[in-house]
Amino acid sequence: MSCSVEEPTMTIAEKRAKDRAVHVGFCCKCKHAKSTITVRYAEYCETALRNARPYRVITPENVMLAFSGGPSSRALIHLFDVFHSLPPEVATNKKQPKIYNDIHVCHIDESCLLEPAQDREQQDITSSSGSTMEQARSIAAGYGYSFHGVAIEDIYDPEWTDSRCFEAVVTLITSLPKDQLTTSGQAPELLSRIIPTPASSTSEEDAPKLSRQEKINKLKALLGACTTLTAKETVLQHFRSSLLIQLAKRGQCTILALGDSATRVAIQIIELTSIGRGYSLPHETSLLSNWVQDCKVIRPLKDCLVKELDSFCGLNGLELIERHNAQLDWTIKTKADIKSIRRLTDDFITGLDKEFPSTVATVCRTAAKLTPPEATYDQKCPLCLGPVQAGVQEWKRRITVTTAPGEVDTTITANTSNNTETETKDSPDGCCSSDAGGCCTSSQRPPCTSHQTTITTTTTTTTSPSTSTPFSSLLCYGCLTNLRDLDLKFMASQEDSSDELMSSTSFELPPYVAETIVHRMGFASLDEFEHRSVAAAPATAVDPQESLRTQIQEFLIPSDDEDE
Amino acid sequence: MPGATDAKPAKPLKNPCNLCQSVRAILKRPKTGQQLCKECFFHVFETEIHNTIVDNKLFNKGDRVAIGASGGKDSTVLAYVMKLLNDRYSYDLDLVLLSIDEGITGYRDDSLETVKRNRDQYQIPLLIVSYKDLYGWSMDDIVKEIGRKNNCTFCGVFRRQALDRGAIMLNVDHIVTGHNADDIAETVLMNILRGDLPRLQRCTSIITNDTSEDSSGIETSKILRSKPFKYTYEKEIVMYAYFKKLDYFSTECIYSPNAYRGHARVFLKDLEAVRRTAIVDIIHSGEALSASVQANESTKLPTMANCTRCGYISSNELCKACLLLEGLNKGLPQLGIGHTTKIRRMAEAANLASGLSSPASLSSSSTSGAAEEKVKVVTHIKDLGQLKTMPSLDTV
Repeated sequence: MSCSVEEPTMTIAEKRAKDRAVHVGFCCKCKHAKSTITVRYAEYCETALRNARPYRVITPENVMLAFSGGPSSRALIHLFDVFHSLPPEVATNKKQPKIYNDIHVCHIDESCLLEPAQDREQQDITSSSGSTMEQARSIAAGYGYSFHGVAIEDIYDPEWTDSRCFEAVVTLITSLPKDQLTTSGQAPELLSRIIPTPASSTSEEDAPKLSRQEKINKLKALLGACTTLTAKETVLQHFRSSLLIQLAKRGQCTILALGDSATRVAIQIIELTSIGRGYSLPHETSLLSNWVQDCKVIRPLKDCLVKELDSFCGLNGLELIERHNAQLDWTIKTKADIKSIRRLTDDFITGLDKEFPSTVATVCRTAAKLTPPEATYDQKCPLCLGPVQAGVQEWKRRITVTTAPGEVDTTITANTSNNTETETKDSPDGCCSSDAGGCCTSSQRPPCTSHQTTITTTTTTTTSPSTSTPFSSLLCYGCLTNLRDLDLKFMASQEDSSDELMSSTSFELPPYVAETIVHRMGFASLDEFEHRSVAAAPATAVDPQESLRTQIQEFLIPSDDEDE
Repeated sequence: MPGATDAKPAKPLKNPCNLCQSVRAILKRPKTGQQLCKECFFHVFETEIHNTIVDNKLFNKGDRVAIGASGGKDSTVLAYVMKLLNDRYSYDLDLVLLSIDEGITGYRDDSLETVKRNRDQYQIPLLIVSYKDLYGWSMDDIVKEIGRKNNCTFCGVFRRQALDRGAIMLNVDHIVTGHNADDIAETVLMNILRGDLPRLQRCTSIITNDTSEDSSGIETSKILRSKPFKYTYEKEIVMYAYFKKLDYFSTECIYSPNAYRGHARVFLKDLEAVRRTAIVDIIHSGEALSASVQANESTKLPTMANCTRCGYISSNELCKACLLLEGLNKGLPQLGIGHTTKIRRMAEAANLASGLSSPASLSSSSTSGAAEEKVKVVTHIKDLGQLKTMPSLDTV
């Protein structure tokens, strides 16, 4: 269809455009094809209009696509290609702005957590039977995207932390003796102990500090310490997020795209509500989240139902990876544990949606109207790296009474003082000052052969020397609730002798948890933490007045009786 | 120490109570899984409610407080515990029981007998207010008119108003209801599922109807409502009632059945079986979500005004109860349920067609004769104090 510029009824704007037009009757972009369409007083030929980008791009960014192998993320990859690809004649035109710069694909290989087929005989799992990495790699290669792969057990590798090499792990200890714990009814106050992993004995710089098997064992030990399927699934989910963010950062990507479908988001909303993660819910389910520093997390498929994405993959012949997600059924010991909150929610929403088809859309819409909490990059929960509300432990204690008639609840006052101490960032002695006169020497490291991180519970009443750092007081509500499902028999108590500590603790938390705890306590690096001065720990809490004084010292005018 | 009267050393106690360690445990606490003896259970149960009351500053000394009493387990235990705590901690509250008679034969009339027994057992005065007297329609009448779908909406709306009206008649400062943790968790889930943001913001508040900061100058009754059982598990309420041998009436409303809430309830029960703290976790999430909704300025929350007919607080010209009643009286039971514009159009069309009399095409002929009896203008709020026809306070 052609529109010609009509002379008799020209407006001033049209006149101006006409004057500006150099090649009247020809396309203003390519300048040689005859113009067929006039838009806003400028003429285009068909090809040019199709390729014109109706949006403005300031700076194209790098995107990391999270690919699990399932239909949603497979569709994500394909759709990004469709959306991003330019026809050849335009691709060569360097001046044409791209929406995204480079597209990367990452994949987390969870094959070590699949049901063991013949793992007993096969100690060395370097053979990639069951590994999903190659399939993912070839799919990404098909689109010409850069590929980054990581295994879920690599979460225990010191490399996958913000500092790239945080060589420490965390063990948890209970603050009360074990026999008291079983009867207290409350979630035990957990303390952490940061155990630096011994330096690698090999001289090679790039040799991984831990073998694959060792990492798998650590992961399985941690999962084994969780008594419920819900806890296992939640912890794995936190590990996945941590790895994805690290992968995005490694790939220099400022955008991380997840393939969450509307169905998945709706299930997530109800699931997060049910496990007490309402505070972080807006970040974990929104279209665009700014929670992570320097990395926007987007969920472009948030309005598509999983059935639609499934059909999309089928109709376009897109190949999927079978058994791409960790199946944890084999870790369950009793029949009662077969249910997890995620599975229950999945069944619930899917069932409800059949009867009330707008359920998924309504739930997503509700959550979209929530304002997320302010991003505070330095106040992250050590386990899930999410936002932490103040006063969470206090809230829990208020609503559940655990003292006998006539007994005074000493734990409240004791732990509150513990909290205030750990919050004084200026004083590195904060963690240890609760131990009256206790001498915490950082040289007190466990022997190299033990990789055990002891989980120490810190009770304020104990006087045993301990290099314990807070843990429960740093957690968000969701993680506090989740860790109630940790099996106490895998943890030592703070009052155990060192022998008992060695033998009874049997699981560790990965390096990124240690890194976050160290940062929360105000140290910039592991070195700084290890060399914090502990000898001068006063019996009482560090005087905040004193720390203020040192900051303003240079401005104080000495009084007459002071020398210098 | 276990009291052995003879000289033999005391046998170690099998299964001691986790808290006092001195007596054998006889129950497992649903909230925490602890094994407790009866006395310790009563202690934690009562103390938690006391903490809730004190931490949230629910009452002032000397307040006159109406306890919403249905005869069911929640309200019976509520009445018992309120009286107990009032005496034990000297809240100095003036307690009365307020009961609503919806007019459901075979259900409400039985439970009202229970409430009357409670009045005698706990020595608290009682006022019964009925739908029939207030609105001219009992629930039995309503269900006959509209069937078994949407009847919960009518009952809920009417009951809320009835409670407030009863409270005005009794001249109380505060109403307490027996909503427990399970109820609130269900409500949070329901509001998310149905996309009801304004309700999501309000449903976890322990005190509602608090218009002290509202300076819009509207007339409200300023009667606060609160839920002392906000963090109390339903199972524990049942356990308490059982061990204290309290008298309550325990069947389901005969009209209840397929409410949407039933789905949320089943899901909640499943969650509780997997993780017993799930109920409290949902409430905590709900509180966080409520703050999120509030922070979102673009969410339009309705502004409050007064109903033009009866003076009750309302976000529209006519309050929901008057609207529903209008529908019932005109034989248009759908009025006020679902999208009203379509019904209104139908009503207007019908009105025009039949010349403003009862639209014969839409209502059955049998009700048109009885329509005059059933049409009743609801008493304006400000006139409630002078009512002569309402039942008077049934003192002990």
